[in-house]
Amino acid sequence: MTAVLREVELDAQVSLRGEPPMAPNTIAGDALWLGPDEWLVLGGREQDYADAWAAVDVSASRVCLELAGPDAADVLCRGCALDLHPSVFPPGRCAQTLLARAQVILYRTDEHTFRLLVRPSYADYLRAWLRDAMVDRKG
Amino acid sequence: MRFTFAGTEYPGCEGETLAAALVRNGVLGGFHSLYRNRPRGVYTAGEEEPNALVQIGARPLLRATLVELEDGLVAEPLAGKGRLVAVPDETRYDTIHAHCDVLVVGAGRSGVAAAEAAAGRVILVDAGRGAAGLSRTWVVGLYDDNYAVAVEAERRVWRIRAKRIVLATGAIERPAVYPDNDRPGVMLAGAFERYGRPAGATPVSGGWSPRVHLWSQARGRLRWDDRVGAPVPDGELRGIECVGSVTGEGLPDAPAFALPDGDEDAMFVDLERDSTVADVRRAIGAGLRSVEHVKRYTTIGTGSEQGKLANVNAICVAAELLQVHPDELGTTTFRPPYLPVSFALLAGRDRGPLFDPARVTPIHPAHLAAGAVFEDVGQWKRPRFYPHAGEDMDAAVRRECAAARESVAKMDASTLGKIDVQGADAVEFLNRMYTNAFDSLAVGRCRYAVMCKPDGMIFDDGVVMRVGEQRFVCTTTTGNAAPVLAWMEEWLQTEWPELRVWLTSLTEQWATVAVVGPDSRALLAGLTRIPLDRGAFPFMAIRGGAVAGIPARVCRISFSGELAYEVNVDGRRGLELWQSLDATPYGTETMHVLRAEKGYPIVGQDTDGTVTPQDLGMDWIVSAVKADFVGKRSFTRADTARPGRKQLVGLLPADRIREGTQLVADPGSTAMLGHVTSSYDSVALGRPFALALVKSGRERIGETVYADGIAAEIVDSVLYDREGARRDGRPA
Repeated sequence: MTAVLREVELDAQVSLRGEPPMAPNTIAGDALWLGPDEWLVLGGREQDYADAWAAVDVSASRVCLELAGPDAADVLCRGCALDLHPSVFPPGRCAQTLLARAQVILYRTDEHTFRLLVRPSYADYLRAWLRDAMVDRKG
Repeated sequence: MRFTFAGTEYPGCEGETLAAALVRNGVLGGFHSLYRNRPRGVYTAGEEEPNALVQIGARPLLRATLVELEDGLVAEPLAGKGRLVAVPDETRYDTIHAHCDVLVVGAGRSGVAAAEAAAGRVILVDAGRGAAGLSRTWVVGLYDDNYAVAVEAERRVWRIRAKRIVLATGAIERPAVYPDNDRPGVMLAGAFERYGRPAGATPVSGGWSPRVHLWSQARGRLRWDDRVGAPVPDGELRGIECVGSVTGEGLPDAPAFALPDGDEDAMFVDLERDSTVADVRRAIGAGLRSVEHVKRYTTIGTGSEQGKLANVNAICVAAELLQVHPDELGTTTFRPPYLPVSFALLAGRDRGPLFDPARVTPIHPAHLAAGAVFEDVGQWKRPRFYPHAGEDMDAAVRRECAAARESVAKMDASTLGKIDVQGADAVEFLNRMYTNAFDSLAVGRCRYAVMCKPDGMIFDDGVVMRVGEQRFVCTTTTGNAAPVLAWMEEWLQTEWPELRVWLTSLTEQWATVAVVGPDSRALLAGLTRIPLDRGAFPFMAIRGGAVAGIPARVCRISFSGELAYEVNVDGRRGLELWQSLDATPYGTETMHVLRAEKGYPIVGQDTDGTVTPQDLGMDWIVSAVKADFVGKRSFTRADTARPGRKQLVGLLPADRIREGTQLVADPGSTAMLGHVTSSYDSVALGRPFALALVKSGRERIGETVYADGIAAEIVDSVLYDREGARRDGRPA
């Protein structure tokens, strides 16, 4: 498999509640749509969002893993039921889904690069699963 | 290339199946049937093979017609059933989720034409070796919304979601029914041709049956087609179409079905199940008319071959014996899987260490380094105890308990669920969710809280902290972190959408360390400037400040009865906090002993979904003034309010008793008074003790009950420091 797994340091994450002017399952700037009144902002602090219904610092609540390479989608499709074809899941889309047995927030930064936000307690499991899945190849 | 079958070595050819190699080597028999031990041989050239079943190493019940030969292969014939082997299957199995516009099943002429005509993303699968598309692949299950599960070469599962499915699955040649139609050498005409007309073999054919299994699995209707003498797809299914011979199109006219003269007990209908025309006649004689009932009575179609060959003939035989048209008998329903699939293959990579996620806290590396013995709490790995060299669990727990009661000890409590609750209606929301009230809870204070289901039974407990005028943090038990959040969201979203309240999980945001014992104040005093004396930092208060240089929220909460602080920090700094606390680490076992000595129940251990707060003696936590809360109406139900319910009490047994043991009034009685919910040895009490749920338990205090013949005195559930003198630590 031609794909590389690495951890990306995110300095801050804030969970926001309110009515974002965003289409479902999309990313606008640093904000990821998570639900009809819920989104996650990468960066920033609680205090920056005084107008939101609720803002909560969740900076330590998720680890960011990045899987990059021509076979990245091929690795993910071994544990993710979503259609990751670029025509369906292009850069700019995000989803809350399961990868193997871990809940993740999944998004794509370019055709061959995916990011996975996962609860830290599941990160060891997910890394081990990804390493195992990277052994296989289609065909 | 050489292979071994039934202990004899034979030459083989590259690309051959085991069945083909056997036939080419003149082995027309070599197998036996399951019940009647009749000699059998290779009968087909495909997945419908009823006779030629083999075991290869750890893999049972393989069809010789599907096994690709490899050098050194060793196969043993099986009579109808496989053999489990004690060695694990070390094969690496793969799973792939795939999506397409069109899934075409079958790469025959019709299938290839359909695939070529299809636009967009197309997946073509076929059982054949070297077929177009995904070869050696069978769709084994077709489910709602065009979800198909396929198996490739017994190594990989494909989970395919298709906008449209084209079934070009073709047809199966069926046996002819006559006396001794199971003899070795008898084989289907198609197989006879495929194997190159082997000498000594006898080709037979009863016609062709459309391969309607997937259509039927998808709940498609079938109708009897007289011309082909078999059921064909009928009606329509959204997004699924059948093309080619699966529709009956292009199949030869079937010979009219007729039962020959002769011994009906030697006319085999289902070769794998050894079922004959005589069996069908017996079923009909017993009054059975539906083909589904005949199937159950005779077991026809219930072997691993699942009636691919037998079912149509069973219908024909039954119709003939009943003198009715086959259409009147109905057809059997085909269910997944189309082929036997091994559990290991379905499990894919969800085996061994990847079977289930093992969740760990940020402090886990320190637990590993300290040699902790872990226990599973849901998916979490929690330290159970930290044995020193030569210590067993009892010794380690005694030492850890003594540290918490006499000096200072620390526990990783990061797995507790934590939920941020904020908004203008947060107090109202919490008042409705919990049994107790929060209007009077001041900012900077916290309160123990109990949550019930609508039936009034305890669901969870925890601590509610008021961290702002409109902002709270609720803790949950480790196992209920996700269920409590989901439960709260359900009420907010479906029952009380008018409430301005928002919930956010903080479980993994904060690492939490409980610092416990009379010396905990002194330990923290060296690490923080937060005023710690009892006047400045009272019980159930919350303070913010740096601990060991790390921004922290510190709560004076005790689950042991000792002076204790729970220190919460950013999860990424949890390990650093832990390492800066010079205290004896203790695990869940010691936590259980300490809390049980104080009579603090654990939800899910001392409760089981049938226990109310009143049963635990916690009437004080159920508000009498709140207008309503989840569970309130149930406390006045006759059964919830009746006398004689089981109540939580303490037990002082003569010896250790086991958790779960039934309690009786005298050793000879079997009438259960209750059961033991928690049982430990206590260094603080100098004896074994237990908690139990006992009918009218509080009225029985002072009485003796028996657990497995061991006498135990019923006592109040609080066994240690009943005055609560230890909560504030050593006097200044």
